[in-house]
Amino acid sequence: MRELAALLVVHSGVAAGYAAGSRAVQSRWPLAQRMRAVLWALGAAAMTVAFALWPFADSAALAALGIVLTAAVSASGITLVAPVWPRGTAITAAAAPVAAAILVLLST
Amino acid sequence: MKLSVHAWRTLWAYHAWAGIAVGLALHLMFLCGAISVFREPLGVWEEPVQHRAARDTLATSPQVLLERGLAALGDLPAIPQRLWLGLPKGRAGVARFRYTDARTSAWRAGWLEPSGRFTAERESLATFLYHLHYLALPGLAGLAYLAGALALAFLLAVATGVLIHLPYLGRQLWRFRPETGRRVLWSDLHKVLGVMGLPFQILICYTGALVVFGPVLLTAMPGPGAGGDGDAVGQVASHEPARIGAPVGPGRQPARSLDDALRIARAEVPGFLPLAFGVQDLGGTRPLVRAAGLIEGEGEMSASSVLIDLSTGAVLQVDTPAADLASHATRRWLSGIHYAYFGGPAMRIVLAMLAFAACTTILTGNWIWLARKRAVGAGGRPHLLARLTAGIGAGSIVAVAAMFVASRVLPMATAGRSATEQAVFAGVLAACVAWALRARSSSAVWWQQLAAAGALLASVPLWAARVSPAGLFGGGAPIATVVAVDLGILVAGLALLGLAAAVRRASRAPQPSGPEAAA
Repeated sequence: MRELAALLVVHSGVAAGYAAGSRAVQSRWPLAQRMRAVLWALGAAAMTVAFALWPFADSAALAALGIVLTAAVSASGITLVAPVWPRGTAITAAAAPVAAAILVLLST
Repeated sequence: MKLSVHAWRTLWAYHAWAGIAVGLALHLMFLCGAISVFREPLGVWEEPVQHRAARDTLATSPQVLLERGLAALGDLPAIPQRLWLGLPKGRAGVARFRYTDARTSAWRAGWLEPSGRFTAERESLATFLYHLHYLALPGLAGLAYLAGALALAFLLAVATGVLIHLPYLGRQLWRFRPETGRRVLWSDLHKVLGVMGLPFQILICYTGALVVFGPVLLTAMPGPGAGGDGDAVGQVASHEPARIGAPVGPGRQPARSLDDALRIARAEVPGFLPLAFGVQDLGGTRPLVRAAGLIEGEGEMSASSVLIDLSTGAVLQVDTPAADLASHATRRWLSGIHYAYFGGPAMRIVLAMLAFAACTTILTGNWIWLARKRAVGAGGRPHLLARLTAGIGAGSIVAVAAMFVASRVLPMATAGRSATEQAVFAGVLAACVAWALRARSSSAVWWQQLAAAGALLASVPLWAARVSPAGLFGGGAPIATVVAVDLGILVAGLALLGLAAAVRRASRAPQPSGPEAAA
């Protein structure tokens, strides 16, 4: 359950990075420079939280590898889905940390 | 970094031709790899005898299980030279018992139910797809080296692709324009999935090539590691102890059973969780047992084994992460990363999705090459590569789906059902390629074959209910592993049907012209 929670947190972190970095998003919903910096910081914080959540049985190197691979899937999915279904992408990104928190609570 | 025109053209040629030459074989390898990360649950799902809680088997001692297996071989003239007892790894399954045939030395296998009943192995869908992942086809095991070479060729395509796109990577990283026409769509898909999937593609191809070529490299250079002792290096390369003879620990007392061997193994490796026992020369002058398993709380990368002389109880070799030879540690990491022995089931879903993304990257690469060829006016009829891309790209998915259906439709008692399933796979793949070669439009072939694969896969859980009541629609007491596999297959089938509908819609949409379409 903890690894699933970590994957969900990575997903919302990548979504924050996408919102801050994508030109398509910026052209449709222009964000202030400060807001973009906040989103980048949220993305970085999400990666740190995911690293802390990763199951203890795996080494730090494997946890980092798992997070990189999950970020790759998440980034691909968001980039392909967001142009055709922006609302759905935003909702899943916002719901992911909530679901992760529930999973962590259930696993403790 | 801006490349010169000559360097760019040279790298583009390497990128394109490497992709075209090996792409379709790699697509098949990635497709089977994506399925093979679920090999363990599929292995439980495919054999109804395994549809029971693992605790029923684990409550029985290993020695009793071994005796049940030996009793099942009662009609053999002598105890086989080598025996192997595997315990269920997850929450479902029964013990697996293997032995060598005295005449042919080939391994024979079966399942040991808690009641003591022995069922000979009759189903090999998961194993066949796993072997196909590295092209180890029946009777053609040497093709695995070709798989290693293909992985290296893919690395070349990835490296050249990165170099030619390096100046634009930042700009193109998040860019996907589905409304701008087919060629731009393919180009964006190729770049997004190719760039985002880079860590996975490099990692999987590198580890895959080393898993294949590692033992060859090690045995080719015995000097540095073992002073030129080729036999010792050969054993190390096969993940065997280099020397069985000098005990690493004194014998306490004879180990008279697997239960004694397990006690000794647990004393050597604290937290040892047994998964299998390999027994050699039972009843002979020097019986040996290798207890293999994991270390509690240290994850799947903690695979360990203890080799014990049953006649003296002496420990001959201990293989743990803490006591690895360099070659063993390297292989542990290479295999562990390649087969996702970390992160649990969720990580396996992530790897499967990345493998499907790699398939899409390869196929869109072919389409881009064909679109460029059409743009310079070469040919009006679909190119042979377009037909083969459709026939093998979509046909391999139909063939896998047909194999799953065959595995649930054929009665379990059918003699030679594994060979029949493999014939179904080969026959359907050949039929799909022939269909694509004769079709007028390769894009129509794409949506039609994807729809066929989706319909076949979505029907599998229904067919599975005929074989076992433990699945999604079985109506009996559910087994979580079986339900999860049924659910996964159903979702994959529905996703393929959705993809077929999207491809059909896209293939019928009018194509924009002008500079955007040629981007």
